[in-house]
Amino acid sequence: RSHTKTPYVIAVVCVCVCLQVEQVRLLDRFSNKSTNGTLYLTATHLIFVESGSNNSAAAAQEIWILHHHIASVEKLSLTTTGCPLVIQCRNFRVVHFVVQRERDCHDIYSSLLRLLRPVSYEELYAFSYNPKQNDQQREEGWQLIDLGAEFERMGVPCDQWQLTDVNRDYKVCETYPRDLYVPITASKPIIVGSSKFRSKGRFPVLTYFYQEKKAAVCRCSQPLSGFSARCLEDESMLQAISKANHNSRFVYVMDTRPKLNALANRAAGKGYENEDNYSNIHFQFVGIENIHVMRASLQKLLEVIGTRSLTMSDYLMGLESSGWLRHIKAIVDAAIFLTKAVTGEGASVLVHCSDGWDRTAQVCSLGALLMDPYYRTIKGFMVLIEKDWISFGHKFADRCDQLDGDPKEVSPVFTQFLECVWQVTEQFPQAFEFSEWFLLQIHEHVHSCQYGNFLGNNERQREDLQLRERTHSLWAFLMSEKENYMNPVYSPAYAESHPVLEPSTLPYHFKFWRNMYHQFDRSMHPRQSILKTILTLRENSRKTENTLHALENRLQQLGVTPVVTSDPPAPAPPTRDHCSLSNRNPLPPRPDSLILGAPISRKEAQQQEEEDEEEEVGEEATESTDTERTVEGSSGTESRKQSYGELEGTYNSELAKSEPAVVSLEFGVARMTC
Amino acid sequence: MEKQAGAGGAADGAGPNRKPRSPPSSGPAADESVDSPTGSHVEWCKQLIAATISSQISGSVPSDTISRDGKESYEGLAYQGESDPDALNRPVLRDRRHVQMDQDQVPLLPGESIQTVAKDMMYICPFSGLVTGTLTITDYKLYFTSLERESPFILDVNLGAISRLETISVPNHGENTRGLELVCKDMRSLRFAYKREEKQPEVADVVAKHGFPLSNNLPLFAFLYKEEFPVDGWKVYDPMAEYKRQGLPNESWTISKMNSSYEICDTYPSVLVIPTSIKEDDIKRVALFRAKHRIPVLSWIHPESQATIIRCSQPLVGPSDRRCKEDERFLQIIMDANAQSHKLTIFDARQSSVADTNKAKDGGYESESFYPNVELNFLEIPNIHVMRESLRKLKDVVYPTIDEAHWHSAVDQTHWLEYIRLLLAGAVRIADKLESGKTSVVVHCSDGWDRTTQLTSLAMLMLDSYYRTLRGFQVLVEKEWVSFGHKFAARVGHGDENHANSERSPLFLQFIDCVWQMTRQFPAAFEFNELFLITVLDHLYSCLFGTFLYNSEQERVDKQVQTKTVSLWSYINSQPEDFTNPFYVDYEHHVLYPLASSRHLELWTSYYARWNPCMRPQMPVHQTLKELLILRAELQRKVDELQREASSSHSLSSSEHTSSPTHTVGTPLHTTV
Repeated sequence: RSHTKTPYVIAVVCVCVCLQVEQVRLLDRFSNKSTNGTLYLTATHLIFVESGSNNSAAAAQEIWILHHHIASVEKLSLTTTGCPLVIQCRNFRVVHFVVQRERDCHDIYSSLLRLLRPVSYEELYAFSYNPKQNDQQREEGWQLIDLGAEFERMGVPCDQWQLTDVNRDYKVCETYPRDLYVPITASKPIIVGSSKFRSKGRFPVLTYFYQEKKAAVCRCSQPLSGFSARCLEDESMLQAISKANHNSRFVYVMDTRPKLNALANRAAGKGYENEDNYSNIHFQFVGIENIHVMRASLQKLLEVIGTRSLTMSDYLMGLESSGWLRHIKAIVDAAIFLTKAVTGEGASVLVHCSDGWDRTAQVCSLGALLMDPYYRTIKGFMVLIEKDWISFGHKFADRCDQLDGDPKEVSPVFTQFLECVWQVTEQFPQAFEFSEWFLLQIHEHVHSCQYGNFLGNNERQREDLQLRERTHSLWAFLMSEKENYMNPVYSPAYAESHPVLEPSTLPYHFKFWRNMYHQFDRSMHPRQSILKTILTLRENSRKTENTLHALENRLQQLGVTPVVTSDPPAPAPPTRDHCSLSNRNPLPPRPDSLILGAPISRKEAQQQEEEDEEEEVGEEATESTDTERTVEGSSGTESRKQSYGELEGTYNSELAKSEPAVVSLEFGVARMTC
Repeated sequence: MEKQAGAGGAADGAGPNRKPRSPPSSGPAADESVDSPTGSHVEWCKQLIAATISSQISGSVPSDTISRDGKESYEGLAYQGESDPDALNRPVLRDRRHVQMDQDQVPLLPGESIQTVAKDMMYICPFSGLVTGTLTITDYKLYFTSLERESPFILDVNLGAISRLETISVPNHGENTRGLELVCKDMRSLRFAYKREEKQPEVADVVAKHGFPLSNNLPLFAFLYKEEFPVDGWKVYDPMAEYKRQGLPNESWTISKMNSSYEICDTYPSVLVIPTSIKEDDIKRVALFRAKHRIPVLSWIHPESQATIIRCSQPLVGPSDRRCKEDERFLQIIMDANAQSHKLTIFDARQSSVADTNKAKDGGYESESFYPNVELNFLEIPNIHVMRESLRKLKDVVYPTIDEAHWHSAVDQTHWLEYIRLLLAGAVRIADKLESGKTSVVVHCSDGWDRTTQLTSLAMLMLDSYYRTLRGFQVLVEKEWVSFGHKFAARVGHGDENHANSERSPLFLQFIDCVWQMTRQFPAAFEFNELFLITVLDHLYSCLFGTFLYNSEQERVDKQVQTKTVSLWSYINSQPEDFTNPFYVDYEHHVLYPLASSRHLELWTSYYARWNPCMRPQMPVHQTLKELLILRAELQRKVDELQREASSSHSLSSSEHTSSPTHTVGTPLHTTV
């Protein structure tokens, strides 16, 4: 964290400030607190810097808001204290500024409106973002995820499934990737015929292969069946999928929509498969609502939780009436159905919705996550998103409103997927290699347009934009700080013994994801996070091990054979330099990314406490965090001996002191997006 | 009733007779309906008829198999069927050194004896359907085993948990089929079906006799329990030691023996802390002015500011605004004892409207005009009857089935979380007044033994890290709850059949729930874990230990509880590793303010909904944590050992160094370490 003076901020951005407004007040959303500072507007960011606080040791608060994150700007009517400006972000940050002069407020407002709505992809941040990498590094970043290798991992191609080049030039389906896997028996005419009978040409293709039972998860869009239309090629396509699996006589066809929606689609010449026309299919509706319902539901949820003094009743009723958790449950239910069919019955499943890029992506990817422990690792989760979301053409540009587009196309479909994953991680804390921070970071960058991965609506568009040549890959960035996203209780042994997860869907297992929707509301953060505690514990163990080795080493050098022989896992015994280094800078390196913070160094913790002490205890006394009654704890320093005592001292004080701090997100995000 | 009977008995025309076993309520609030709280009466009858039909078709398990495999089934009990939570939550039984096996292989506690064994009982499990097996009734528990299924099915319920017992009978093909429903205090209801046999003693009678011993002139099981533990839990709380820990007595406060034979107040402990400068006569006058003679006494003193938490009952102001000079002076002295503040804050836990009603009935609250510099706040917490009703609704929500579509609204309608929020928010206000305001606080409600206790104990838990340790929490409970006369016997209804008694109320449960909410927000600040909290609640009802028996210290002394029963803390402290939170870091001198906002409170489903098989943890996280903890301890031990060794060899080497200057082995090490 930098104790930043203004010029430094600017230097970091390397972009000239378009606008600078002094004496802006930032109001806290849930308390009466406010901070004074200066607002800077650059070509990419809106930056708020707290003006020189009386305590120079404490870092001045900085808030960096990427223009792409801003969902809406609202200028409220003038008050006695100034002109209020409310900015809502797609990463669920809500900031409320009060600008003293209306003229300034208007300037900011109109500038933001101009900057807010890029009309061409080239205006997006990804094209100007430069993390100081050379071309080779960039290229390596893009090569991190290889979907061909992923299908190979699943065991495809094999004797029943093959790679087809039918879509090599995006001729058959322009929203699909080039490389597609289909049953051996599905000939080109069948594929082409089937694609003509499917909405947007999205014919059934393989997305996941469950090797153990040779069962396939396929995806497509709805058939253009209307009230009675048939297509022999499409029927043989499903027949081919069925035949590719000897374990089951039939294929499940999962229509993820509610039946009513599917029926309504029939009037428009679309619809669903008629069991009479297709041999050996079991047809099933799942009932996940469409993008418009989901958008409205999230809107409602955000309204409820944005209420300042929320009563218990309003909260619970609001949570229920928003329907958000019910929708999440519907998706998880569908994924469980899929998982049971594939892993339990060994049947192949064809999943579709209307166009096969929203609900289908949710269900297929979540289902695969439940079936295959690989997708629960950090790398595997990237692969999963790359495969089911990016390559199969989830319309990120439209759904996340990257360019000034149709607001009716915007919907939190991907956010829902991340939340479903989070809900499952809550039930199976040991099964996932990644922690909540990973999900939050991905969510952050889906909307940031800082990396090329999520730009555009499909693979073809991405190739046209030459993203691989002109932007950087998020996966490489996340991989480079993998340490920060590790789940400390992850147990690979558990993953091995429980390859298939079967989450419970009782209503109380679906919780409000506070760390997502309140990630920028400091007063809503947990006071102590278990995650952080475990990380600290881990860190302590690691240090103790080092100490142990250092001591053993010393004993050896003294010519004494240690009676206790330690287990070998620790790395080379550290010298004094190493020790002191790690004291100053404990591992894992503090994520300069967001959320709740990894274990932070003692100095920072202290700072934090000082800050917290400054915080007023409000009328409800809910804002304040732990106040320390005595400033210096008893860390056994008086028994400090000349040489060994030092090690002991640091060890003990780390144990006693390194946790009690709440880490603010603002700082983290600020560093991250610059 | 008519209609229900008709519907239920449709199978053979004769309606079942529903017969509540308990006599009509003697309490004033007999407002509970006859309907079973766990579902409609009709449904219960249908279940019963289904049970009789199935028993005719399938027959039942030969009883001799039970004795053959009984022992094995007990060993294989973990994570099987209904028995699992019991196995988890009653580790008394886990320690098999103490378990005697009798001929029927029912694990018995020392002092426990079998009363009757009923074969061919059908347990109507709400989750897995009908199970036929053998029911053993001892003077402590019901023990139901069945070998009908692949895995042995065991249901183990202590009789103390039973709140109410009902039988119904369905005449069926000449045989008299009975239904037995046990409504439990721990959120479940058990239903059995069986055929009445003339020679056998009626099962329901045996259960009633031993389930409600006090109503049948029998002793509570705690007086029969003969277990011996290596640790004596009765020694956990010594009031003198606890007050000494707080720094008492000091110049303003004295430890008084005035109540040593409970003559001032029969519901207070014998040891009280009162201001030094107050005369005994004045105290007696104050006692007359306070409800139940519960005078203001010190509960806790801030180690730095000397601000205090004082507890008492309501003043007997009455409609005519009576005054008591001694009481006014008493509060003035309390204020003066704290040099940091010239104010005194009174928190009246009640709703202000209720306090006004009380005033009309000779109770009331302190008038700010008679008590100078006193600020009176109402915390607006409803009374015990409201809380009881709230828990009753909550039980309907979580047991046995859960309405998936309306979960949140159903939870909302119980208001349970709202009351939890009120308690926590009130306690935070008290703690903050002391910590930040450095002002002494007087807490009372009506009698000063329910809400007052909840609030003072929670505030102390926030302010004093000692109470967040395993031992300290026991001291807190012994002090604020047990010794200050929270009426456990009346609120829980130990051994008493009168389930509709309006004195019953889940106040201690609410307190534990609040503690759990705090542990959720501060996972590293408490030495004990969730299992500890659940175990405490289980034994609040079980009557296995003497800790929570009776209403006051005086009664406990009379009944010689400490010599004739075992303390719950003996059991807990004999195996503390089971109840230790692996995340615990000593947060000495930290004041914890939990967030009492709607977004941060959640329903404690792992307690309230623990009987639901879906509630079993999907994976034992605590196992991982325990391993981490062990690893840390192990490493630390090694470090300690090595350090000891190193320091001894260091002195050795340095002495070598001085003796022979050319010897340079030790020297470079000083620079590297």
